[in-house]
Amino acid sequence: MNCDEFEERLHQDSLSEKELEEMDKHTVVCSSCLLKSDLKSLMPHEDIPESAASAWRQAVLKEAGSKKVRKYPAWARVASIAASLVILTAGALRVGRLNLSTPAAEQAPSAPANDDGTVASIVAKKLNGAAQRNNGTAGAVYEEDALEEAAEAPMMAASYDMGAANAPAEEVEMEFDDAEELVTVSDAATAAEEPSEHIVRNAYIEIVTSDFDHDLLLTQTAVTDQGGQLSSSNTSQNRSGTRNAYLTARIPAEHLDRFLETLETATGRITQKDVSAENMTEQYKDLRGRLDNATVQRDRLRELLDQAENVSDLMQIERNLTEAQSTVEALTGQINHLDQSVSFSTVSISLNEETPAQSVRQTDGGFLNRLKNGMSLSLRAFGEFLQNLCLFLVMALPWAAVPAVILFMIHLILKTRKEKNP
Amino acid sequence: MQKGNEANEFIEMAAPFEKNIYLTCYSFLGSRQDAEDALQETMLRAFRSFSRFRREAQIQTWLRKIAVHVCIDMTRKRKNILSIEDIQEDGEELKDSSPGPYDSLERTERMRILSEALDEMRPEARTLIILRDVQGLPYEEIADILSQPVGTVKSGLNRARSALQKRLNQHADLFARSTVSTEERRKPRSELR
Repeated sequence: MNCDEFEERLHQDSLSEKELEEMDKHTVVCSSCLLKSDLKSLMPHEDIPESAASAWRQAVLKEAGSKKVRKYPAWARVASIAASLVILTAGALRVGRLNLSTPAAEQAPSAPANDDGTVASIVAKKLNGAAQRNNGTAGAVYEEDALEEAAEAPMMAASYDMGAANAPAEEVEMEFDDAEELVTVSDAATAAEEPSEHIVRNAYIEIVTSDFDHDLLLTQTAVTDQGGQLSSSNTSQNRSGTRNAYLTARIPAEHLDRFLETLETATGRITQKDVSAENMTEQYKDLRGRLDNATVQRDRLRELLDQAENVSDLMQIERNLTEAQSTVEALTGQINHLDQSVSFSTVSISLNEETPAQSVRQTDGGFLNRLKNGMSLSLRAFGEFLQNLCLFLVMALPWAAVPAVILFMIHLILKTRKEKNP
Repeated sequence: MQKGNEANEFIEMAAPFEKNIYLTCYSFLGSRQDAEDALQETMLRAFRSFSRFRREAQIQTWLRKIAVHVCIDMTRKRKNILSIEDIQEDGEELKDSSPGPYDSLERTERMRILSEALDEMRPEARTLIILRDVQGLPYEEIADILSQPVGTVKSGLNRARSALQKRLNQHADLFARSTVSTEERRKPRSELR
């Protein structure tokens, strides 16, 4: 007899005497089959108690008659745990982006009022004053003192020829027939005081910084130090938590290069720099000529107004005079605007806060240094994540408490019912 | 009403196998009370999934499958099974019919050690030994119960037997030989008077 035969016969119900004898002999030499026979004797052979038989029947009937309270299957429990983890993580990240522990970025100061005391406005006033002083005078006479006043106004543009501006103007007695010559003379006098070229310089600069607050303040200070003013300032924060600022500054044209150099050396990385220079000289001359002609025409009409003999002539002259005055004012405004653009450059500054990962990549000092910085950054970020997670849990506690209490009470009721009705 | 009919149908179908299921639970858990609890839990689980039961499958195998899982779950919660106290029933003493008083003591001691060794085994190995060597179920039915191939069951059983044998080698004097005949050993415990 071998072990397979022994095992097969061991579980048979009836065995002959011979088979039993063979099995006995086999167990003497085979401890494995001896063990199998010992294990066989562990099998109970008793009848099922009456209580057990009726108990399961009653339980099944009761299950059928009552609402089934099923335990949730394993996959549902795993899914609920996974969903809870996702909600907790999302909540912690969301709290982190709210930056509850960090104060909001300081707003840039509001732009101060414009144009008070600037050079261009002073010059414009002088020119307007000179023009208005000619009102009512027979013939357009450019008084020497008016020209001298205009010439005396400090000229800020370095490219302007100051010598020409100080040249004395000739005093000319004008008559109506000499208006054209007057214009020519006035042109010369005007040219003597005006710069030879009108260049409008503007700039756009984009900066990426890891120290946003510091660089924003530095930029604002640099504007003031160079004699300029902030005409607009806008600060925002995007979804990733990084901040951006967009500033528009008016810098005196001769200080533009120094201002840009300050930004390049003292702030973060310059990612874009555009400087434009537009020559507006021809346009300026054109405006100037048109203004002079319009002025002469206006003055002449004033003279004619005094000489009008009848009402219809008077009305016609007045209409033309009004039109001429409007033209003079419009051209004067355009020249003033051009002067301002020449005198003050517009600089648009975009300041962008870079993400910590970007700052690590840009760190100087080799790969090991960046590894070290990256590790310390990650540890700091993980610490902040844990803080935000705790904060989220505390914030969610009032919302979770009520359903938790309800669920606990339901669980207690069901447990009590089960104990009462096993 | 419909659920009540379904319950009666289930009871009618499962009743012929209640004894076998009860004995299966008893051999796993080793006590009457635990076996009754396991039987009730098995029948309840079976009833809950009765609507999904594929009628072409064998009912007994299906019930046994559920019973094995119930017993494994309960075993994980309760450690002690097949203790010597379960062999000695309340108010009863083991009466042996084997020759000589020393042989019955030896057998009692062997059963105790065997029970303890079986208790210490991993649940998977213990399950295989109980289903095959204690209950004598065919390999195909065991494979169906455990949802494993027959080859896997056989190889797992060999490893389980080797592991059990290794534990029992510490008591080689008791398990190397036996003075009790095979016929005596085939007798159930309840008939040991």
